Amino acid sequence: MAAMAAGPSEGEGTYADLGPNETITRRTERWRGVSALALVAGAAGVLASQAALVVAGAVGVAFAALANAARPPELSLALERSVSDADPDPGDSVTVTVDVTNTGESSLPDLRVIDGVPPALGVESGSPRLGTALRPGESATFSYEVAVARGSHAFEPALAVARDVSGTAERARRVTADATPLTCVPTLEAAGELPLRAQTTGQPGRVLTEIGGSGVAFHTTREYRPGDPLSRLDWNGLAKTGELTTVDFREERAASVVLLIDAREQAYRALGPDAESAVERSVRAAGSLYGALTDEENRVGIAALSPEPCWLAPGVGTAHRAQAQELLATHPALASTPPEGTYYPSIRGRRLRRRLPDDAQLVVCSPLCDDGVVRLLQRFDAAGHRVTVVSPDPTDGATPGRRLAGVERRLRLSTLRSAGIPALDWRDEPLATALARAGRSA
Amino acid sequence: MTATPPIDDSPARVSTGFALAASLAGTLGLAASTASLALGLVGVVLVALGLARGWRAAVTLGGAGLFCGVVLAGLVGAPAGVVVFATAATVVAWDVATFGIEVGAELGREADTRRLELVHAGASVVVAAIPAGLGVALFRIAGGGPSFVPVALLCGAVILVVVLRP
Repeated sequence: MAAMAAGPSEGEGTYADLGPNETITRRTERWRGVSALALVAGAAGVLASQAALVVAGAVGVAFAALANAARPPELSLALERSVSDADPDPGDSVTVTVDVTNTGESSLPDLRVIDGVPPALGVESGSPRLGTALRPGESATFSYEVAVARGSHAFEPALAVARDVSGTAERARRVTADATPLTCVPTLEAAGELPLRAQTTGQPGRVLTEIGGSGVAFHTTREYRPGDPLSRLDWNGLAKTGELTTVDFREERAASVVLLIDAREQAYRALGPDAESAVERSVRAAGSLYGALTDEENRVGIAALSPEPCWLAPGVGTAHRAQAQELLATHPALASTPPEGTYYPSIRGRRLRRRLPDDAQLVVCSPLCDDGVVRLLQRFDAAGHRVTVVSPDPTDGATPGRRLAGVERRLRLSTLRSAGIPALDWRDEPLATALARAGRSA
Repeated sequence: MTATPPIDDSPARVSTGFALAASLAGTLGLAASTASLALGLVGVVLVALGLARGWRAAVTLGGAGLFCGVVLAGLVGAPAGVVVFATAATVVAWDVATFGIEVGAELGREADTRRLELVHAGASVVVAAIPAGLGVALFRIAGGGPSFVPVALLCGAVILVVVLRP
């Protein structure tokens, strides 16, 4: 019986390279050696003149014959996938129901289906896998629940593996179903206030500038010039010295801000396989900052440091807000899985600089996991785009390696600060708390 | 955020129960001698261990133990019906046990695999029962006399040549 050796081990891994609608067949060699079993029994029976053993050998012959005659079954399936809610909110559970129908002429005695769950989603309950047997025209249904996260999640083709009744001949195929992507767009909620740098546009707004004019906060007094408004004359000074002076206040202007999200492969750092990655936190921060900054009448745009180009020009208004919401939720550059390509800072950085309006300042959301991004931000700052950094902290002190990474990251933060770039360290806390801390220290 | 979490890949339930039952039934037929019964029991323990841990090699070893017990029982002259039944039960137990381990590893315990397992177990029983029944019937008709062995050998050789031709 030991000759009945196991065939090559199989599973999902065997078919990792199988493309959509591709079909391959193979033999599992499950029953290899079963004829040897028949011969051993028969030979023992003959040698010992025990007819019963010869008859027993017939059982082995039957299985060997079945395995030898096995042909891979025709695999013709229709897959229908439906979701309970195609437009869910983040954190919702969505029930996915898959209906498999055998549309072929012959029955499938051994059918396994593994559904292509979107890579960024986790299965909460139930199983996206099914083992069944289907007669022609018959169908089977299975369902499972996934927890939805931000993004547009397309289902991948399901893997269907069918075997003949002895389990020897196997045919596998990737079955595509109608595209029913799950789109999850979080709402932009303003959280806290970020102190911006003093780089503004000509429009009135709420960023205090060093420009004298009308406003609230005192700036300077200067000699009266004809045409100055009466309300800004320094009447007390006139009474004391007899000279006409005008008080200037610090003008409040609007800023043009581009939220730059670090979505390079290096930024996809998380504390564990199930924890939120730094990019995810950066995107969340960008959403909150978009809300907060547009509420203060600034023009806000969005860009990403990513191999995939991602750009939304600074703007205001309801339509722009909807665009920003859509981009933050579903843009492939901000996907919850790391990008394939490499980010070339010189090429992409130059392209981004060409697109930036001259008076735009940058608010960068980056975990600062390498030195390259620090140099890049210093170059942006030197090129006249004032930079502010909001840095989600992806480190903890659990292992020596993580402690080292944490120290390196803090060094990068202080490098930026010593170059005059405000850098906010966002630890494991709500963004509003971190922003409030920054507001106090500013 | 990761893809689907790892599945619970222990052997599928229905197959586990069925394979254990089949191997126990096979052992019952080995009571002809102490040695064969002992071998059969060792086989059952190994099959059970393999099913508990998902070890395919242990199941195959257990199947081999059961089969050795069957051959021993046949050699000491156990009745033909019993020997053929034990052989069929052994093969079915091995088949269903390895199938259960495979399905467990591939689809996991969470998945609904009942129909797949029942169909496979049923097919396995039918495939084992037909030659066993035919063989025993033939054996009874031939009367088990000395002429039976050459006749069966001839038939067996013909069948082997026909079915195993590549």
